[in-house]
Amino acid sequence: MSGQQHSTQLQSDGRVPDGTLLEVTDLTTHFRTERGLVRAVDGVTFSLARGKALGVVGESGSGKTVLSRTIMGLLPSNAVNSGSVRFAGQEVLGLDAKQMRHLWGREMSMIFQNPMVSLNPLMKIGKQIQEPLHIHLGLDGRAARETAEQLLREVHIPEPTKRLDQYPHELSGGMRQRVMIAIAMACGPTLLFADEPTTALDVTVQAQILELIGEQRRERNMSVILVTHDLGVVAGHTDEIAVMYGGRLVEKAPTRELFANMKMPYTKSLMRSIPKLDDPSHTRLLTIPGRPPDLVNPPKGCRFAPRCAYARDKCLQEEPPLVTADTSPDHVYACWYPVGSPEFRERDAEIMATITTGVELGGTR
Amino acid sequence: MNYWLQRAGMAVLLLLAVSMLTFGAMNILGDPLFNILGPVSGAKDLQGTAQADGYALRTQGEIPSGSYTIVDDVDTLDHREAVLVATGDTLPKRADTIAGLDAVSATGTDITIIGGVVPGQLVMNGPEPSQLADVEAAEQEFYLDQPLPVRYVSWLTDFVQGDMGPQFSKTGEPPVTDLIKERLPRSLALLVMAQLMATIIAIPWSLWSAAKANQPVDRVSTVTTFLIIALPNFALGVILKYVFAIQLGWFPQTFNAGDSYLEQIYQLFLPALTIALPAAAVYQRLLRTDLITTLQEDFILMARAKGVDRRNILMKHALRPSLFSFITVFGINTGALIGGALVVENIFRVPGLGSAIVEAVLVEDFPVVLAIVMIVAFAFVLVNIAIDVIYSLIDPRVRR
Repeated sequence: MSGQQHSTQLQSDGRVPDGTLLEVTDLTTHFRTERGLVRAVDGVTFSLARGKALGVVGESGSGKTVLSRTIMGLLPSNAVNSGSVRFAGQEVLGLDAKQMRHLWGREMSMIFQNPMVSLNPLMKIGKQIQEPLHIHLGLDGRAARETAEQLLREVHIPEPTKRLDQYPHELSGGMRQRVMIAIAMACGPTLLFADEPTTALDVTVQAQILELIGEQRRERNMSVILVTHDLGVVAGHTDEIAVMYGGRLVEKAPTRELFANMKMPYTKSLMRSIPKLDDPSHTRLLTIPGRPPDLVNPPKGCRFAPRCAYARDKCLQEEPPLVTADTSPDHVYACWYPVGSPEFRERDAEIMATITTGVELGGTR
Repeated sequence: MNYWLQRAGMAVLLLLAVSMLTFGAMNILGDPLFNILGPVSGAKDLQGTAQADGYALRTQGEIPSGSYTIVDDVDTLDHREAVLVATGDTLPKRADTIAGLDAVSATGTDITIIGGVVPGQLVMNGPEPSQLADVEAAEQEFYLDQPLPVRYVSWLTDFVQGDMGPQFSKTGEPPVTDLIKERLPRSLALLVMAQLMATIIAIPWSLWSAAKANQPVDRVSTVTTFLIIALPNFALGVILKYVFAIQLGWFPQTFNAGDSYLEQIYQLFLPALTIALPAAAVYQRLLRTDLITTLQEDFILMARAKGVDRRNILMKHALRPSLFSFITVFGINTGALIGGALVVENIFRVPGLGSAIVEAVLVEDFPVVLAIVMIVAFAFVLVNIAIDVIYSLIDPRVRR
């Protein structure tokens, strides 16, 4: 049984060399709709090394989910792609479903946001785990069942033998997400997409699930792309963070570097919208005013500019290019007046002044 | 266990309610005596005017003494008026009431009653003593002198013991049970064949259509389903009969009850297909829509991400969760078709329950009507329970 498990792991170790696993170059995904072309992902470039975890952060509508589905090739038929996605040296963008099917579940796996609706409600847990084992590894009968049980044990599900014959509705949300992870892990993939894996879960369960994903990543030398709207989620569980806004990559840096020297006002706003433990209770959370941009007619200039408190005329006119930060060569951002620049500080002082006045006014009422 | 007891109790209540309503309706519709005895009145034509040929009339409501004759008879089904003229003779023993009269006018000693008399009502116009004896015998035999609730209970007691009573329109012979025994298996065979064909057509068709949702082929198939649904049953039946039985000669034109079972099944093929095609089109609509909805579920995306191929996505993941509305309508159809295939039965000359009930209603043979209504109601109850069982087999979440 464990021999079986090892063989799948060895297989995945042998299949893909260490080093760069995924190279995404100038990737665009547009959707043809009745309103027009929706530019969901618009020129994204990044690469990911084997065994590393990348966090993709952004509000809803920023294109982060579409980005992961584009890389995996799981898009509806009205999507149009351009650019390049190289997986283990091979171009995978534009492959049809028939060709991609050999990668799905075997090399690339995906965990979805809502474990309540992502498992087939009418199929036993065991059968759902055994399905990829059968498709990709040809495992059947006893061997498949034992491997499935072993997988459940690895994702720390108590009484795995019993679970195999249960249906999803008999399990809690956290347990179901563990089952999803077991399914995703079944054939020892080299790349795991976790699309908001904890959004639908209890806070206490969230940490366990993230810990489990991290554990699987280390054990299997697997790369992870963790898609989330919550900077707090990615902080402790990724090596690098990419921030997306309006279909574009606006800042990318190693996790530690990003939290230490974030450059984009947008990243900073995301940061500020996380509640902090040391804030006094009933502190108003800072929200980002306005709505994400219309992806059919994206604003001219910096896409965040209309909502940015630090935007100036230039931001509304010219689109900032991705530039390397002075703090680290791995840190890139797209902003004319990044955090820390003289223009930013000047505006920040003004804003802080208004906020303070506002508080005083509130106090006298 | 408790659940099934409840279900059974509900089913019995439903059957009782259906039987009561039908029993009541049949009594409003006509007088059972008419069916048993035929036109009893007719007796002496005192005025020498029109006779009550073919229709006997029974009156309700107080009538003064006198004897009556039917002046203007009811001779068609639509024509529901009759004029009774009292000739001032003797009071007929049974003409104590007149039903649904619109007007009563008195001229001298004669009373003219103009009323909406329903065909089949009995008027005893000074019957001969022998006829009176017949009437009394019939009344006693069929409890017709008893009040309605008593008659209902005695009918029910016989019915649950398997005695469905006599056929009124055939002077009581052969009993209704024999008629049902002859017709029911034929109707069931037709129903099973039709539903099987409809399912065999609808499932692959809807899978194919859902896989190609909103592509040109799917649109063509949608138009086709609407065409089949909109086509009246008799038109479809006649077309199929003309093409496959008359022109091509692949199937016999009519049904022959004397042939072997195998031949009968062969003869039932076209009638079954006539029922199956519109049913399949309806099932295809339901299944296709549900399949398309299911295909948008996250677990389908999950299955794709596991590497499951298109065929297995449809067959193993999407089909089962999409079956519910199909099964519901399939069940309702089963109940409705068991006694409702009249048109098809007529076109292909298949004497089934559908034609039996219509014939029985036309001649007010209400033991036959009641028996068939009860069979259809019972079928509905059985099918409903079967559907619940199937639901729980398909979806573990509704299991108890």
